[in-house]
Amino acid sequence: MTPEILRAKIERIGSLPTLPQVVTKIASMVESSETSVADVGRVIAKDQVLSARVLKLVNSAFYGFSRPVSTVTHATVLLGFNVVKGLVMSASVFDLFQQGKGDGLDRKQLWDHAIGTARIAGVLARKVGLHEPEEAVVAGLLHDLGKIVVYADLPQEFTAIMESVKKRSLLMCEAEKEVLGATHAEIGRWLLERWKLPTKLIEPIALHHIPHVAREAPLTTAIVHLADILCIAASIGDSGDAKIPQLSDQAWNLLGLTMEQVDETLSEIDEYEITSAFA
Amino acid sequence: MIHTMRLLAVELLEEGMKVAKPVIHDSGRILLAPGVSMTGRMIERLKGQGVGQVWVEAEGPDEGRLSTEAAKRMERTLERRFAHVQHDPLMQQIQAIVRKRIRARIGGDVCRSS
Repeated sequence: MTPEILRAKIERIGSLPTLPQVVTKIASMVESSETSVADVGRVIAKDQVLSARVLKLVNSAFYGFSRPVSTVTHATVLLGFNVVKGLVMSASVFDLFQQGKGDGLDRKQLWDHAIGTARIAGVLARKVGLHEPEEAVVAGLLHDLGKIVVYADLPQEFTAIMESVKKRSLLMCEAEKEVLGATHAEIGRWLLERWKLPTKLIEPIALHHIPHVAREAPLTTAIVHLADILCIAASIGDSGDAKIPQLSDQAWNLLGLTMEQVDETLSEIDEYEITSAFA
Repeated sequence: MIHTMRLLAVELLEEGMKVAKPVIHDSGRILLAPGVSMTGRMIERLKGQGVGQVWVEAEGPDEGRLSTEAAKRMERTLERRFAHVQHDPLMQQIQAIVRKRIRARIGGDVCRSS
């Protein structure tokens, strides 16, 4: 498969019925200056299954809110359009995932990895003083989106990737390059571009394995990069990687954190609750 | 004593479950305070007010603690996972932090929000 054919195939997922119309609707609403936060909240709230999932995501990924978020409108006011759009996508992609047929990776474990990375990213974002920490959370949640898409849509390729990871001790990115000609991070970028997420949210997902390349959102990208590594180190869920990806010196220097703060970060998240966030 | 919390959909709430975090209405009004043991009427009222989910206290064995064997298994996994980055000082420090955290969980206290 050439990258062009792969991309065309992946992009078609954007129009599959598994992504609810509400995503498209919100995407167009967010672009209009006349849309109010409450309008978006109302559209999501109409789809009860979706709004329940979005709320569950909000309350499990945005760890550290002093109080639970109980309505979608409240979530939208609190988190802003783009983050809620990202959450609706996460909830929808999760649906896609549940119907997938790939082999070699436990769905629940990958989900825990996404939630774990999101939470760690949120704590790190506050420690480095990121202006909009919730963007780091939603980027953490979506960072492995590409894996889910391959798992759901290209199950044979996914199985081949996981075999290479296990038998030849490759990183998932390396195996994906061999089998597909593109990594899950690039695949994630194609979808998010198609779904018109802003670049500041796309970069941290597309470049989480090569954070030094980031131009528009280098700090959020560095946060997601480190959060992913810490989540794997702490064995929260399973990203599919048997080997830990290496921390970029440039990203680490940009963050300006100490190892004591890394330790604190791991104390601040509660991995036991992450597991109960899956349903 | 460490207690854990669980986020439950209102439909799954049962009488007698304890509220772990305040349930607050969009208007800012507190509907239920932490520590309240829920009655059937309270649960019905939450449904009526459009509340989707509630954090409740979870009981059960303390999953945070590890047996010596389980901790050893986790350390071995950690070593395998970090085997290819032994030359990297930053990765070494991260591995040391995680190793320390695993050891701290054997039998006794666990670093975790309570």
